[in-house]
Amino acid sequence: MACPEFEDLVREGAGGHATRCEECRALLDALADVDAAFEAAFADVSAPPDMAAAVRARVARELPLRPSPLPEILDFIGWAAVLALAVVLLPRFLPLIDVALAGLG
Amino acid sequence: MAEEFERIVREFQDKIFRLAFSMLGDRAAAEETAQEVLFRVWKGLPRFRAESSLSTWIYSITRNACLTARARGGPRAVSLEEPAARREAERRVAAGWPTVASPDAGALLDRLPAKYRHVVALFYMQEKSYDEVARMLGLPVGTVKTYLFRARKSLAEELARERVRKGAA
Repeated sequence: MACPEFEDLVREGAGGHATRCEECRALLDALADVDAAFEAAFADVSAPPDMAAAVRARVARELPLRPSPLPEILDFIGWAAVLALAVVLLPRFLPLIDVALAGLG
Repeated sequence: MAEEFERIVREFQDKIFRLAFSMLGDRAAAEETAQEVLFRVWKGLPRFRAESSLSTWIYSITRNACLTARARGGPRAVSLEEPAARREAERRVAAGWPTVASPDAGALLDRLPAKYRHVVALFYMQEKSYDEVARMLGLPVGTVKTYLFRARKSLAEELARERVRKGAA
Protein backbone atom coordinates (compact mmCIF):
# COMPACT_ATOMS: atom_id res chain seq x y z
CA MET A 1 0.00 0.00 0.00
CA ALA A 2 1.35 3.42 -0.98
CA CYS A 3 2.30 5.78 1.81
CA PRO A 4 0.15 8.92 2.16
CA GLU A 5 1.49 12.43 1.63
CA PHE A 6 3.18 13.94 4.68
CA GLU A 7 0.27 16.31 5.31
CA ASP A 8 -2.24 13.46 5.30
CA LEU A 9 0.02 11.34 7.46
CA VAL A 10 0.21 14.10 10.07
CA ARG A 11 -3.54 14.60 9.90
CA GLU A 12 -4.18 10.87 10.42
CA GLY A 13 -1.70 10.71 13.27
CA ALA A 14 -0.28 7.55 14.80
CA GLY A 15 -3.57 5.69 14.58
CA GLY A 16 -3.85 5.62 10.77
CA HIS A 17 -1.50 4.31 8.13
CA ALA A 18 1.43 4.57 10.54
CA THR A 19 0.16 1.60 12.55
CA ARG A 20 0.97 -0.61 9.55
CA CYS A 21 4.03 1.18 8.14
CA GLU A 22 7.25 1.30 10.08
CA GLU A 23 8.76 4.00 7.87
CA CYS A 24 5.82 6.38 8.37
CA ARG A 25 5.74 5.64 12.08
CA ALA A 26 9.43 6.59 12.27
CA LEU A 27 8.65 9.81 10.40
CA LEU A 28 5.86 10.70 12.83
CA ASP A 29 8.15 9.92 15.78
CA ALA A 30 10.82 12.17 14.31
CA LEU A 31 8.28 14.95 13.81
CA ALA A 32 7.11 14.61 17.42
CA ASP A 33 10.73 14.87 18.58
CA VAL A 34 11.33 17.94 16.42
CA ASP A 35 8.23 19.59 17.91
CA ALA A 36 9.24 18.61 21.44
CA ALA A 37 12.75 20.01 20.97
CA PHE A 38 11.43 23.36 19.77
CA GLU A 39 8.81 23.53 22.50
CA ALA A 40 11.43 22.86 25.14
CA ALA A 41 13.76 25.44 23.67
CA PHE A 42 11.34 28.27 23.00
CA ALA A 43 8.17 27.92 25.07
CA ASP A 44 9.60 29.85 28.02
CA VAL A 45 11.30 32.69 26.17
CA SER A 46 10.32 36.04 27.60
CA ALA A 47 11.86 39.46 28.15
CA PRO A 48 14.41 39.69 30.98
CA PRO A 49 12.70 40.93 34.16
CA ASP A 50 14.77 44.10 34.39
CA MET A 51 14.32 45.15 30.77
CA ALA A 52 11.32 47.41 31.38
CA ALA A 53 13.13 49.15 34.24
CA ALA A 54 16.14 49.75 31.97
CA VAL A 55 13.87 51.34 29.35
CA ARG A 56 12.23 53.60 31.95
CA ALA A 57 15.68 54.63 33.19
CA ARG A 58 16.77 55.45 29.65
CA VAL A 59 13.62 57.47 29.02
CA ALA A 60 14.26 59.44 32.21
CA ARG A 61 17.94 59.91 31.36
CA GLU A 62 17.76 60.83 27.70
CA LEU A 63 14.78 63.11 27.71
CA PRO A 64 14.78 66.44 29.55
CA LEU A 65 12.76 66.52 32.74
CA ARG A 66 11.18 69.85 31.81
CA PRO A 67 9.45 70.18 28.48
CA SER A 68 11.38 72.19 25.91
CA PRO A 69 10.58 75.96 25.91
CA LEU A 70 11.09 76.08 22.13
CA PRO A 71 7.40 75.76 21.16
CA GLU A 72 6.47 78.62 23.50
CA ILE A 73 9.28 80.81 22.13
CA LEU A 74 8.22 80.15 18.53
CA ASP A 75 4.62 80.84 19.50
CA PHE A 76 5.62 84.16 21.04
CA ILE A 77 7.66 85.16 17.97
CA GLY A 78 4.73 84.33 15.71
CA TRP A 79 2.22 86.39 17.66
CA ALA A 80 4.71 89.29 17.94
CA ALA A 81 5.09 89.26 14.14
CA VAL A 82 1.33 89.34 13.68
CA LEU A 83 1.05 92.27 16.12
CA ALA A 84 3.88 94.18 14.41
CA LEU A 85 2.24 93.66 11.04
CA ALA A 86 -1.05 94.97 12.42
CA VAL A 87 0.66 98.07 13.84
CA VAL A 88 2.28 98.77 10.46
CA LEU A 89 -0.80 98.15 8.34
CA LEU A 90 -3.54 99.63 10.53
CA PRO A 91 -2.70 103.33 9.87
CA ARG A 92 -2.88 102.69 6.11
CA PHE A 93 -6.36 101.27 6.37
CA LEU A 94 -7.71 103.73 8.95
CA PRO A 95 -8.84 106.32 6.34
CA LEU A 96 -10.69 103.60 4.46
CA ILE A 97 -12.38 102.48 7.64
CA ASP A 98 -13.37 106.09 8.41
CA VAL A 99 -14.88 106.42 4.95
CA ALA A 100 -16.77 103.19 5.32
CA LEU A 101 -18.11 104.20 8.74
CA ALA A 102 -19.11 107.65 7.41
CA GLY A 103 -20.93 105.98 4.53
CA LEU A 104 -22.89 103.85 6.97
CA GLY A 105 -23.67 106.84 9.18
CA MET B 1 1.05 59.40 27.63
CA ALA B 2 3.05 57.86 30.47
CA GLU B 3 0.14 55.55 31.29
CA GLU B 4 -0.26 54.55 27.67
CA PHE B 5 3.46 53.78 27.45
CA GLU B 6 3.32 51.69 30.62
CA ARG B 7 0.45 49.70 29.11
CA ILE B 8 2.48 49.15 25.94
CA VAL B 9 5.51 48.00 27.92
CA ARG B 10 3.40 45.52 29.88
CA GLU B 11 1.59 44.21 26.81
CA PHE B 12 4.41 44.15 24.26
CA GLN B 13 7.76 43.72 25.99
CA ASP B 14 7.74 39.92 25.71
CA LYS B 15 6.52 39.96 22.13
CA ILE B 16 9.11 42.53 21.08
CA PHE B 17 11.83 40.54 22.79
CA ARG B 18 10.71 37.27 21.17
CA LEU B 19 10.52 38.81 17.73
CA ALA B 20 13.99 40.30 18.19
CA PHE B 21 15.34 37.01 19.54
CA SER B 22 13.89 35.05 16.60
CA MET B 23 15.46 37.47 14.13
CA LEU B 24 18.80 38.04 15.85
CA GLY B 25 19.32 34.66 17.47
CA ASP B 26 21.07 36.06 20.48
CA ARG B 27 19.59 36.90 23.85
CA ALA B 28 21.82 39.89 24.63
CA ALA B 29 21.36 41.41 21.17
CA ALA B 30 17.61 40.82 21.41
CA GLU B 31 17.44 42.58 24.78
CA GLU B 32 19.44 45.55 23.54
CA THR B 33 17.28 45.83 20.43
CA ALA B 34 14.03 45.42 22.38
CA GLN B 35 15.08 48.27 24.69
CA GLU B 36 15.85 50.44 21.67
CA VAL B 37 12.45 49.58 20.18
CA LEU B 38 10.59 50.51 23.36
CA PHE B 39 12.51 53.76 23.53
CA ARG B 40 11.59 54.55 19.90
CA VAL B 41 7.97 53.72 20.68
CA TRP B 42 8.07 56.16 23.60
CA LYS B 43 9.48 58.88 21.36
CA GLY B 44 7.09 58.15 18.50
CA LEU B 45 3.94 57.72 20.57
CA PRO B 46 2.83 61.40 20.41
CA ARG B 47 3.01 61.26 16.60
CA PHE B 48 1.36 57.84 16.26
CA ARG B 49 -1.86 58.47 14.33
CA ALA B 50 -3.45 55.04 14.49
CA GLU B 51 -3.46 54.76 10.70
CA SER B 52 -2.22 51.24 11.33
CA SER B 53 -2.87 49.24 14.47
CA LEU B 54 -0.58 49.82 17.41
CA SER B 55 0.80 46.28 17.20
CA THR B 56 1.53 46.62 13.46
CA TRP B 57 3.42 49.84 14.15
CA ILE B 58 5.42 48.33 17.03
CA TYR B 59 6.29 45.15 15.13
CA SER B 60 7.38 47.21 12.15
CA ILE B 61 9.72 49.25 14.36
CA THR B 62 11.03 46.00 15.83
CA ARG B 63 11.71 44.37 12.46
CA ASN B 64 13.51 47.50 11.22
CA ALA B 65 15.57 47.70 14.41
CA CYS B 66 16.53 44.03 14.01
CA LEU B 67 17.54 44.54 10.38
CA THR B 68 19.70 47.48 11.46
CA ALA B 69 21.23 45.41 14.27
CA ARG B 70 21.92 42.56 11.87
CA ALA B 71 23.50 44.91 9.34
CA ARG B 72 25.90 46.00 12.08
CA GLY B 73 26.88 42.36 12.41
CA GLY B 74 26.43 39.78 15.10
CA PRO B 75 25.07 36.32 15.69
CA ARG B 76 22.17 35.06 13.60
CA ALA B 77 21.54 31.49 14.62
CA VAL B 78 19.26 31.01 17.59
CA SER B 79 21.41 30.27 20.58
CA LEU B 80 21.82 26.77 21.83
CA GLU B 81 22.33 28.16 25.28
CA GLU B 82 18.68 28.86 25.96
CA PRO B 83 18.03 28.01 29.61
CA ALA B 84 14.87 26.03 28.82
CA ALA B 85 16.65 23.98 26.18
CA ARG B 86 19.58 23.37 28.49
CA ARG B 87 17.26 22.35 31.34
CA GLU B 88 15.38 19.98 29.07
CA ALA B 89 18.63 18.48 27.74
CA GLU B 90 19.91 17.99 31.29
CA ARG B 91 16.62 16.45 32.37
CA ARG B 92 16.71 14.01 29.47
CA VAL B 93 20.31 13.04 30.15
CA ALA B 94 19.55 12.58 33.87
CA ALA B 95 16.57 10.43 32.99
CA GLY B 96 18.79 8.30 30.77
CA TRP B 97 16.99 9.17 27.53
CA PRO B 98 18.87 8.09 24.43
CA THR B 99 20.44 11.14 22.84
CA VAL B 100 19.23 10.11 19.40
CA ALA B 101 15.68 10.80 20.62
CA SER B 102 16.62 14.30 21.80
CA PRO B 103 17.42 16.45 18.81
CA ASP B 104 18.91 19.77 19.73
CA ALA B 105 16.68 22.71 18.82
CA GLY B 106 19.59 24.93 17.85
CA ALA B 107 21.16 22.28 15.65
CA LEU B 108 17.80 21.65 14.00
CA LEU B 109 17.31 25.35 13.30
CA ASP B 110 20.78 25.56 11.79
CA ARG B 111 19.70 23.10 9.12
CA LEU B 112 16.91 25.39 7.94
CA PRO B 113 17.08 28.27 5.47
CA ALA B 114 17.06 31.64 7.27
CA LYS B 115 13.54 32.55 6.15
CA TYR B 116 12.15 29.43 7.85
CA ARG B 117 14.20 29.88 11.04
CA HIS B 118 12.44 33.05 12.22
CA VAL B 119 9.02 31.56 11.60
CA VAL B 120 9.80 28.29 13.39
CA ALA B 121 11.39 29.92 16.45
CA LEU B 122 8.65 32.53 16.78
CA PHE B 123 5.87 29.98 16.29
CA TYR B 124 6.98 27.99 19.32
CA MET B 125 7.63 31.16 21.36
CA GLN B 126 4.18 32.52 20.58
CA GLU B 127 2.21 29.51 21.75
CA LYS B 128 1.84 28.21 18.20
CA SER B 129 -0.34 31.04 16.98
CA TYR B 130 -0.13 31.37 13.19
CA ASP B 131 -1.99 34.69 13.27
CA GLU B 132 0.29 36.27 15.85
CA VAL B 133 3.46 35.08 14.07
CA ALA B 134 2.11 36.46 10.78
CA ARG B 135 1.36 39.83 12.38
CA MET B 136 4.76 39.99 14.06
CA LEU B 137 6.75 39.12 10.95
CA GLY B 138 4.49 41.09 8.59
CA LEU B 139 3.79 37.98 6.50
CA PRO B 140 0.52 36.50 5.23
CA VAL B 141 -0.83 33.72 7.45
CA GLY B 142 -0.66 31.31 4.49
CA THR B 143 3.05 31.98 4.08
CA VAL B 144 3.68 31.31 7.77
CA LYS B 145 1.80 28.00 7.54
CA THR B 146 3.68 27.00 4.40
CA TYR B 147 7.11 27.86 5.84
CA LEU B 148 6.34 26.03 9.04
CA PHE B 149 5.00 22.97 7.26
CA ARG B 150 8.03 22.75 4.95
CA ALA B 151 10.47 23.28 7.81
CA ARG B 152 8.93 20.62 10.07
CA LYS B 153 8.61 18.16 7.18
CA SER B 154 12.20 18.63 6.11
CA LEU B 155 13.54 18.27 9.65
CA ALA B 156 11.41 15.21 10.43
CA GLU B 157 12.48 13.50 7.20
CA GLU B 158 16.15 14.27 7.85
CA LEU B 159 15.94 13.06 11.44
CA ALA B 160 14.14 9.86 10.43
CA ARG B 161 16.77 9.17 7.73
CA GLU B 162 19.60 9.77 10.21
CA ARG B 163 18.05 7.32 12.65
CA VAL B 164 17.74 4.68 9.97
CA ARG B 165 21.41 5.20 9.03
CA LYS B 166 22.47 5.00 12.67
CA GLY B 167 20.32 1.91 13.18
CA ALA B 168 21.85 0.24 10.13
CA ALA B 169 25.42 1.10 11.14
